[in-house]
Amino acid sequence: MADKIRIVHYINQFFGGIGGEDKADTPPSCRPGPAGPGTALAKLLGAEAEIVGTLICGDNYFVEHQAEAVDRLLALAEGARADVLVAGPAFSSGRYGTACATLALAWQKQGQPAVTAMNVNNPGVELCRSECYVVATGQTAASMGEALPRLAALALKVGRGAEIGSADDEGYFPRGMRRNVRVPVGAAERAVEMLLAKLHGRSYRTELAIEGFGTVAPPPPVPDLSRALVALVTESGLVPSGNPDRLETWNASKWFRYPIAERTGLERGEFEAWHGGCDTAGTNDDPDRTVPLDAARILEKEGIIGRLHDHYYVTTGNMANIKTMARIGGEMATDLARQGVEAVILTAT
Amino acid sequence: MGIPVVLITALISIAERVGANRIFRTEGRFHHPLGDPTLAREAELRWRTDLLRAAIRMLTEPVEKPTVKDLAELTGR
Repeated sequence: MADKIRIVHYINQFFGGIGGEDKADTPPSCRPGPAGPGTALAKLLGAEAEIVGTLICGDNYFVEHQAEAVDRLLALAEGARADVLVAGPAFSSGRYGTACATLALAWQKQGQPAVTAMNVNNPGVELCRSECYVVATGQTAASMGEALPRLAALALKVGRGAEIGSADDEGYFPRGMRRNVRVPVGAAERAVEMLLAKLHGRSYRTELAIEGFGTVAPPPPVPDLSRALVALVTESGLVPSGNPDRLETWNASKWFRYPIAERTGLERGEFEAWHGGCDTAGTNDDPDRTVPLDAARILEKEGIIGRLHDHYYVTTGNMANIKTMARIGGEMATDLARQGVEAVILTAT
Repeated sequence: MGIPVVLITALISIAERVGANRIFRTEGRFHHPLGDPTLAREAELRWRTDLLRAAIRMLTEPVEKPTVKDLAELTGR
């Protein structure tokens, strides 16, 4: 039989038996063999794998000294010569989940696979799910019994380098990857079957879940627009010519603000749209068609709006990731609020 | 609380689906929501200013949920 898969297991101070919140400042340490939930995990791993060491760190220590904690934990793990890192399960514990995700990513950077486990609400999920396998768990350690077998099964598979099934089959969070598979029934037939099931009220399962957008409570209106500071925001990818900051034309991760304080309009040749999803010729011919600075200046002069904010804000809304766009929107809103902006004109292509 | 936003777009179904609260149905094209290249420059600016003047009225009106309005509704024209 081949050598056993060597696993190093990361847990926090609570599961490591050091203590609760009062011991959350505990610095990193390493014990030989399994500890805490690792004991049950070791049984599930069976003869094929061995937990050669357990890394433990206090939750506060990790999040407050993140870079140092990662370095020390990786150094402690070095002697164990492990093939796979298993972190958690962290359930809904945000700091623990953040630690598991951060350590898993750092471990994988060294070239070895990592597997972790946590609840869908744990912020650690979004930190790492696109890059490593995160087993879905319940909210609390009460779901330990369901989480550990899946975690063990995945740890064995990544340790062997075996093929990993779909997120649904294996119980991990979708990683945003699509794989071609050959199925006996064509797409048209499957779609019709799904439709018939839906029309008959039978249960069916979509093959591609569309992410929800959530809702935003409508902010109250501006009490007096004629005294308000108003900002122009756009998702059209309109940037100074040449795109000096390299705003992406699709799947944007960045946003920028550009000064317009001295301008009465956006001149052709000085601004242009870098948007990969639509024809930008009309905008480039007159950028005011998409970011209406010239018209907004007229309304400012007429006193209909109090004052125009001295920057406009831009990202590119094209084939974008919803979570990234939510982050960008949040960052823009925070900045706008800090500048005292009371109302926004958002032009969208 | 938040900052009220008027979303000016020609793609109304998308705007509603993503939950924008104040949506102005522009008469411009989707790839330049406040542009009409068929008009002469001066006329285009007047047209754009009228649309913007109407759109920003939505910033002064309370809404409960995604609400779509256009020039005619906002100006009574």
